[in-house]
Amino acid sequence: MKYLLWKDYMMMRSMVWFLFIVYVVTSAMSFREPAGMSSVEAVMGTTLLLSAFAYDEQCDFMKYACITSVSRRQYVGEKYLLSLCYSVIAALPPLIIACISSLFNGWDRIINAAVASALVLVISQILGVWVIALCIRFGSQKGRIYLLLFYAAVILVVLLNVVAVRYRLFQEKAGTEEVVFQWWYLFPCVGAILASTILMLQRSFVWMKKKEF
Amino acid sequence: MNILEVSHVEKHYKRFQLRDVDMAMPQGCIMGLIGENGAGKSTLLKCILGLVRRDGGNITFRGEELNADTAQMEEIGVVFDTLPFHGQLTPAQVGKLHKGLYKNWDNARYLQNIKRFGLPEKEKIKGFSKGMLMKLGIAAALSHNARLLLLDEPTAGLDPIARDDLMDIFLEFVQDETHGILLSTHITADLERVADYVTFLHEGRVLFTRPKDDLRDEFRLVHCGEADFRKLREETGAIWRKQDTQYEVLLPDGAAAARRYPGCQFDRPTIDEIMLMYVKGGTNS
Repeated sequence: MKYLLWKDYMMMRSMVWFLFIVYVVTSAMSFREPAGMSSVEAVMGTTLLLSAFAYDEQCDFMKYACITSVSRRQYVGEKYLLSLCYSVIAALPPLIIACISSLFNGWDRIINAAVASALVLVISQILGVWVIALCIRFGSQKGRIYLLLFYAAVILVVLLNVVAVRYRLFQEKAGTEEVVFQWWYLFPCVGAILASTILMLQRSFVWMKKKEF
Repeated sequence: MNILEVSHVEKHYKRFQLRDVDMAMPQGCIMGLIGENGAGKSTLLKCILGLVRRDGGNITFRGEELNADTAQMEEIGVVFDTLPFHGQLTPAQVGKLHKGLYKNWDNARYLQNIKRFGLPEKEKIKGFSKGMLMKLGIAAALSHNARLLLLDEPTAGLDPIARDDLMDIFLEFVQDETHGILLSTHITADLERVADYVTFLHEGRVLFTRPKDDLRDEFRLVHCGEADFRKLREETGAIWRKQDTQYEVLLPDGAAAARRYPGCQFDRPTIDEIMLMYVKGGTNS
């Protein structure tokens, strides 16, 4: 599996400078508030994964890998490992920036940064699962479009959740007190996203097993 | 012993079906898989490699059921018509990648093959010609102790010199009697030179699978006028085609027919001519 990872790295080498600049810019922007720009880096990870699939498709490497000693399960596993590597790389800059920043502004920033990094890691992994599953099922071209639909669906679900909660709060507490929105009101949509992601994780292996070339 | 046996393999798509494909390939031989575009050659190779699920039939490799998820794949080298590696890699890096793809990968042999084929080890493959890419693919396929080579159009787009080089490599590979090559190609001239067996696929069916020498010895092509044509068309298995004012008749048992019709000129057909007659010719049935 390490050779497959190495192969993906070799293909992406030309993008390293571009990534470095993105990370420097986003890290600089998040110097005062590490959580702020972390999401940009999380999304970057999905772009890289899409590129990895596009490169494989371009030269039919997925087909070739399937006729070697590499099992289809291992191929998918390598892509998850790649996704994890990107996530870790994406999550590290805010943490490092926060550590440096905390030397001057107090240690509470590290806790904020740790939470932000953990969030980036989770969000990046969720997006990674969707990218991998969609690319295996539909290819990188169509997968890209379906990923955008997934983003739109997530935004829609979150908005609906917020509107529903706010409406209920308004009905219950209208005129009596100020409506305060709590983060745990988002539990239903977070649950829906996590459940669908777990389903996608399982489907990615099934789709790869059934894939015909 | 047969290195590869395909029995009653079926694959159904909406617009195309591979039906009841049977063939057996003995060890130490090169089998040519011929047929027009869309005849099912690539689909058959994909069935053998487990790249598509077959809807019926069996495939055995050296007497054992072929399973794409097992170590058997170590013993099968594959070369597709396009190289499955990104242009940014160099041949040396392709070798390094293969260490992870095959447990039996022999990098020393690979580097030796690269050198033998005259490929630059450290240049990016995006600058390689089609012939160099094919040689790289074959160098990789020959470097993991494969016994069977499956080649899908390996000589397409190559100049005669490069094709000749590849044919030499193939002939050398089958010097070992436990090896074999299944070669799917449109360029039948290559098969005339190296193939021991020829399997002809047409519209998803095997029309024949026979030793190449049998084709040469038994098939005869007759160019004749109307009067001879009327007699020759009654021969068993005769296939004919009208060419301007003349007729071309292909006779599967031509050697015997030649004795019966001493007045006609019987020629040995090329594989191309046999293929053309089967696809475009008319028959009694």
